Amino acid sequence: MTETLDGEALIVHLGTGCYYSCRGSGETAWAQLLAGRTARETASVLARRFDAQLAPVTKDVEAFVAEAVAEGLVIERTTRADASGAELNSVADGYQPPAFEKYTDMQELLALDPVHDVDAAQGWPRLPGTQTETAV
Amino acid sequence: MTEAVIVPTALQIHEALNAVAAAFETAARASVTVSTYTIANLVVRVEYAGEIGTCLAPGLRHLEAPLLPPDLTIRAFDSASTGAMSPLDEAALRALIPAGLPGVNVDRHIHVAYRRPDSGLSLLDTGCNAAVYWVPAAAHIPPWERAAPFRGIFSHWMAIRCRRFVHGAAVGTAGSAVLLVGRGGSGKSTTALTCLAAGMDYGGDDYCLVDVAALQVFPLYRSAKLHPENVKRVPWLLGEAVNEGDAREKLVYFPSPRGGGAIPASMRIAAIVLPHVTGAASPRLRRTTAAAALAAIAPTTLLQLTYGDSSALHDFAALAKSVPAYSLELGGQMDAVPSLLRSILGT
Repeated sequence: MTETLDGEALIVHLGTGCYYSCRGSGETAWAQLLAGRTARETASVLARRFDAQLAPVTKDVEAFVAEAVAEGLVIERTTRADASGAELNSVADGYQPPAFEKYTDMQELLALDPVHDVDAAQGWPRLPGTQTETAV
Repeated sequence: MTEAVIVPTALQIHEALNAVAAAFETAARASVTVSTYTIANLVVRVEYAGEIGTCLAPGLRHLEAPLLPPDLTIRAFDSASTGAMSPLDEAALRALIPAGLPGVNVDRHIHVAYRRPDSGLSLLDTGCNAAVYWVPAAAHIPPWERAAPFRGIFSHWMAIRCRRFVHGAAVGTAGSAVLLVGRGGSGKSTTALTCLAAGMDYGGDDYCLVDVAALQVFPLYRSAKLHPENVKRVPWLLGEAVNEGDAREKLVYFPSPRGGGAIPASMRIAAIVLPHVTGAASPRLRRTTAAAALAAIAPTTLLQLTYGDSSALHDFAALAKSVPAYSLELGGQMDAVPSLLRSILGT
């Protein structure tokens, strides 16, 4: 799930329990990816928007996309999607490489499959043979 | 290689619901107590068979209402005190809940939630607004479930009726409230209980219901949970925990309003407050962004729900945009917190 407020994108991955935020060029890049643009197209948008050199921006965006794929936030497509117009928020600062801030403090809530992994006698969130403080 | 997730068929789910409902009928032959509650302007009837009412009813007692036609009926029972057989065996439960999912399966009208074994099996049929809740033994229901009964059922059913479950507290005065949000350990509970002790109205400590469009917060649970080391900050609660002596768990309380405060049926949301513990000598409020408020509300709420509702984050974003947000820096002098929050409410 993802929402953007005040130029900051919040992304919650219900499968892993991690959540992410990205601002500035990261928020812009994320919006472009959500709109269906390729990494190259996204890099072009960022280079124009932040008045930066295309080559290094392209490298940065490719790294950003690779991280998004690795984290399970996006899936690579083999066919081209119809890219819709992505609303651009106003530019506040100069170009910085787009990046995700990752938060794992909620991950423990989903660390255990509550039916198949946990101790049968004690229940979630305890693994078999352990006694741990309740997560929630 | 990712394992394929085998999703049960609609027939399996319906059979499970019928099995659990039939088991309740067996359980109810011994004894049934019925309570009606008004929650977020909706009427919920709960039929408790056996000893489960003793364990779960205290968590909802403040919402009791006269008998009215219900909007939702919940039938709750256990096997140990009623003699009713477990409605589903281990294999059936594993088949019902695909591996890798947070104990949930949704098939059109039927919502299933299960966290084995002590937090119970919930089945909600939204088509006929009926739910069944089963645990193996009522006596073994853990304190955090007694503090917040039927969470899986309420969070899904209320969401359909535009009342969002929020992991947060609410305190207020004169019909207005602030939402206190943030992950566990941020100081929400200590802040909420300090305000309750100061005579402010109390909308709950851990979870509340929010109508985003109307900007209304509705109390749900009266309970509060504190780490043992934080009880010293609310000394009037010493000795009042329902689970004293269990060093592994947060302490659970059912505090009552004090000093003229109340648990109102609803309050208008005036602001969102993000407490966090600092080394400050005295507490301080600072304006913060809607984005910060959303980050404080959404992950901790969404990751505790038993279903993935893609519209929930959108609703939380709308809430964060609708009211001002503040960061509350907590340190010493907790007794200064209520007047700070009253200043936001204009009282």
